[in-house]
Amino acid sequence: LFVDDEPGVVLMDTRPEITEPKQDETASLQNQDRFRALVAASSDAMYRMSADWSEMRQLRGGNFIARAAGPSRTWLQDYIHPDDRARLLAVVQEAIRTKNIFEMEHRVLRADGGLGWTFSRAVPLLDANGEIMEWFGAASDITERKRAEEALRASQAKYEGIINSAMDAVISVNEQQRIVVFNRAAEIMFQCAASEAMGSTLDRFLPKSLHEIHRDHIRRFGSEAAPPRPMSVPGTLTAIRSNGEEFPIESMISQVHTGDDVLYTVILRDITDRKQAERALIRSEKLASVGRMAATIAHEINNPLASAINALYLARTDPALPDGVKRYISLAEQELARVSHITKQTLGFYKEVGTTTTIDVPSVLDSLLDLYRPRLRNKNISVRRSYRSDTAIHAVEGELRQIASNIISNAIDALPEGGNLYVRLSSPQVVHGERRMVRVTIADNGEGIAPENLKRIFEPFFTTKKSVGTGLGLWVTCELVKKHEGKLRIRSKLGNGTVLIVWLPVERRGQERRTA
Amino acid sequence: MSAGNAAPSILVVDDEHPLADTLTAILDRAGYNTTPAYNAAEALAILAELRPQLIISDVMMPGMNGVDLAIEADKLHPGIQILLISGHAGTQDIVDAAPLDGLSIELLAKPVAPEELLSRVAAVLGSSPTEPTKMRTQRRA
Repeated sequence: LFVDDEPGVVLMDTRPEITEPKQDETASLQNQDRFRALVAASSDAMYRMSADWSEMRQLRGGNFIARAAGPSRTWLQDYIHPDDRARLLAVVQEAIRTKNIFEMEHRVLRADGGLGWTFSRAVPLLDANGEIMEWFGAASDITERKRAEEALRASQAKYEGIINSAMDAVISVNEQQRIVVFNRAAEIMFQCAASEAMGSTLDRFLPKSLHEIHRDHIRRFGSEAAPPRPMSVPGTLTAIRSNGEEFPIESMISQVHTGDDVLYTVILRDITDRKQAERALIRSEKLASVGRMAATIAHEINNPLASAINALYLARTDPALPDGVKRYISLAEQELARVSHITKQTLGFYKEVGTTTTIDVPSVLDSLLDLYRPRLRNKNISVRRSYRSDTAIHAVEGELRQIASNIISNAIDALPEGGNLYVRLSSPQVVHGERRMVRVTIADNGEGIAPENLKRIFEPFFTTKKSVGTGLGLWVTCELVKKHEGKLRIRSKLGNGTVLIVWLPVERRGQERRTA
Repeated sequence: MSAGNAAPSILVVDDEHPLADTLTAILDRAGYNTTPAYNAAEALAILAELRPQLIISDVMMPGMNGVDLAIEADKLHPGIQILLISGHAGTQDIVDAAPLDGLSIELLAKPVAPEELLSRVAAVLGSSPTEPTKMRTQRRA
C-alpha cells in the first residue's frame, strides 16, 4: 500500500483509476476503508492527523492506546506525556516544514491508564500540488523494549559502579586478549587511563617473564566454565606501572561466557604496602629478639663484672700495693669501666641513670677528635671542621659522645691513607615544621659502602669489618639517636665515600621524666 | 643501734657470693660495720636481730626479690635506709609497681663503681664514717 521509506509518498494508487469529478471525496472514503483494513491487520495503533497536526482526525487500534471517540484537538494533552510534548511539537514542526517523515520515541498514555513508550512514525499525504493534506501514522508499543533498555542501563551503571568502586584493579580481556574492561582502581594502580588501556593487551602491564605464563594460564582455562582461581606462579607475582615501576601483586582470574564471547577477568591487588609491612615486621621482630638476647647476655655479664670491679678496687686500695702493680690494676679498672658502659647501654639502663644536661656540641666533637688523634695521625687523615653553631643542646652527654664517636671511628676505618674527614655542625633549623634541630654531618672520602650492605648497616651484629667489628656500633648509634628523638641519615657510594647526618633536637621533649 | 660513735652498720644482700663478699670488704675497709647476706630470707633473719642504718640489696634474687625485702625491712624497722642495685632493665618497673606506701628506694644500675657506691652510701647516711663525731640526722617515716 505504501512505501514507508520515501517521504511524501502519495499513499493511494487511486488516481489513475478514478476519473469521476468527486474524486477527492471518493478517495477519502476509500482511504478510510483501507485505513480500517490496515488497522485491523496491524498490532500498532494507527492515526491520522490534520496537515498542521492541530487535530487528530482518527486514532485506532492496538490494545495499546485508548481509542479516540472522534476527532480530537486535545490529543497532545490527552495522550502525550507532559515532558515529551515540547519535543514532540518540535519534531512535528520540522516534519511539516520538510514534508518529511515524522519519527519519534515518546511516552504515551496507554489504554490501561498507565504510561508507556511508543515508537511513532507518520508520513505526510500530499495533494497534487505537493501540499500536505494530512498525516498518516502508526505507533508501535515499545514499552517492554524501553523497560529492558532501562533495566540494562541500570544494571550497567550498577556494574560499573561496583567495579569502579572496587579497591582492586579489575581488567577483562576478550578472547583476542584485548582489554575491554579497565576499572578506576586499575587506572590508579597502573597510572594509565582506561581510554588508553582499552584495546591493548595485558602484556604492557606484566613483566616480560610473565607474558607467556599469563597467556598459558588463559589457555589452560579452556572453554569450560571454571571457578575463579588464583594465578599461580612461583615466587611473587609482579606487575608494571606505566612509569616502568614493578610492584608485587596478588591476582585472581575468572572467565565469563556471554553468548559467543568469553571474557577473562583478572582481579589484581597491589600488595606493595603489605609486603613492606611484612618486611618491617620481620625486621622489627628480628631486632627485638636480638635486643632481648643482648640484654640477657649483658645481664649475665653484670654480676661477675661487678665482682671483678670490686675485687680490683680492693686490690688497688690496699696500702701495701706496690705502685707498679697499682698502675696495672688501674688499667684493668678502666677497661672494665668500658665493659660496664657497654652492658649498661645494651640493657637500656640509661633511661634510668642517664641525665639530660646542656651540652656544647662543638666541644664534644673536638674532644672526640682529640681522642682519635693517634689514629688520625697514623693514617695521615686531615680533619676539616666547620661549626656553624654554638647552640647548646639538651642531651645525655655520654650518649652524644657515643653517637659521634661510633660514626667518627667508622669513618677513620673507611678512610685510606691521606684521606679527608669532614665534621660539620649546622645552626639550628626547624625540621618538619616543628622542632629546632642541629645537624651534625660526619663525612669521609673513603671506600664507601656497597648498596647491599647499606640496607643492613643499622642492623645489630652486621659488620663489614670482619675480625675487628662487633656489628653493634651503628645499631647502638641509631638506637641512641632515636632515644634523643633525632634522625640519622646515611648516604654512600662505593668508591666515593660516606656521609652520615645526625639531626638532634635542641630541646628534649619529656625532660621532666623520672630519673631514678 | 647507731648509738654513740660506733661505725654505721650496713647489711649487704646479694645472691652472688663474690659480689656480696667484695662489697662487704669495700664497705668494711671504708669503716662501716658490714654484714653480708646471700638471700632475702637470710637478710630478714638478720634484721630480726639487728637494725642496720642501711640495707644495700640486689633486686633480682631467687625467692623474695629486693623490692619486697625492702618493704618487709621497712615494716620491721620503719625509716630504714635502702639502696637497691640492679643489673636488670626492668627493675624500675618493679619498683614503680610495688606498694611502697611512702617508702623511698634509691635504685642504682649494676655494676656500680666502688667510688660511686661509697659516695652514695655517705650521702644516704648523712656522713662519712671517717668523720664519726659528726651528728647524723636520720630520716624517719
